[in-house]
Amino acid sequence: MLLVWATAAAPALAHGGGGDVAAGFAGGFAHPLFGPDHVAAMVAVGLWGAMLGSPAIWVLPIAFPLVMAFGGVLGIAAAPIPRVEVGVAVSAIMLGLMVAFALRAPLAVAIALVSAFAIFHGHAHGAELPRGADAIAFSAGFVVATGLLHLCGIGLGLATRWPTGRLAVRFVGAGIAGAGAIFLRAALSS
Amino acid sequence: MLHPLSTPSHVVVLIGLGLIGGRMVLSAGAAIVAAFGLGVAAGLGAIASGVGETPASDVLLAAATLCGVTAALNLTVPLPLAVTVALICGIALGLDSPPESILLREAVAMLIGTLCGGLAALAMIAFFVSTIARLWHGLLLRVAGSWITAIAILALALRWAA
Repeated sequence: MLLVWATAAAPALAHGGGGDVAAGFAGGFAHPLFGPDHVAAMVAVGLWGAMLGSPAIWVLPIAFPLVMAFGGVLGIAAAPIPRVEVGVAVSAIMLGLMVAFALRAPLAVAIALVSAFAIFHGHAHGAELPRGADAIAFSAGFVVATGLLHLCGIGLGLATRWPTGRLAVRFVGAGIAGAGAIFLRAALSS
Repeated sequence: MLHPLSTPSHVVVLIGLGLIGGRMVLSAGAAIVAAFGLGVAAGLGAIASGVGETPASDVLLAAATLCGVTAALNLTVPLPLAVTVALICGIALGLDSPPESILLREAVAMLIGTLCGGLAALAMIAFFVSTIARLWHGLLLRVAGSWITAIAILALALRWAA
């Protein structure tokens, strides 16, 4: 909350050219939320983490932003990664299927899989980040929104403690995988 | 006094440093806050003596990345290293806080306010971190560390790309 409050504060006049901090944060916060493919995959990361239990429930949301930032740097630097949108759509399919079939991968495999997808998500966002926006405020909004989507997934995933909830979560996973297939079709046709 | 809290790069580094200091024992945390204060005073002194533009903002973001990674990976930092990082952060924050007023009296007041505000903010963040350090096995701090790292890395990349 401190971070949200502080980064939304008015800019200091001594740091001219920094742009509007509040607008930068709001823009960064909204950025992942307006990409349904990103939203689906982020929620799926949280769901899968919750389904796998400790330590995956907290390792995946810690690993994802770190690797996503690396992907973001590649995107900002315009490093060529082919078919990024396809990779993002495949991430929604794969992670959705993991949840739908309640697959219990070893922690190292889960980290590797989520990290690989984080590169695509980071690259896609990084390539679209506006250069003129206040860099730190925009990055903060972007990272916080992504993290909160993970937390949403974890929150929903905690329903797996009950048999009915576990079934519901698996249905959500199937829905995410289905949505991912639509995103993939759109990405391939574009 | 609010200057360090109204500049995003300062907030990011204060939280990052707070994540380091708050996870250590009280005396070590106090040493980090003291080193930071010393650094801020030195940086502000350099500003007062007319130092020109420096890459202080980039240094702050690099330091925030280091602090964030340390917290995310739950690494134990040796006290001398933590104190050195705090000192560097303080100097960079001071250098990145030029007074907005050209009147001498107001400028001096602003520099003193920045020093007090930075110290108070870091102490409060470190205290808050120490109170939640054991909550959920330190999970919140590790998540915060990964967020701080991601923010600082992306911000650095955006600054260099601009």
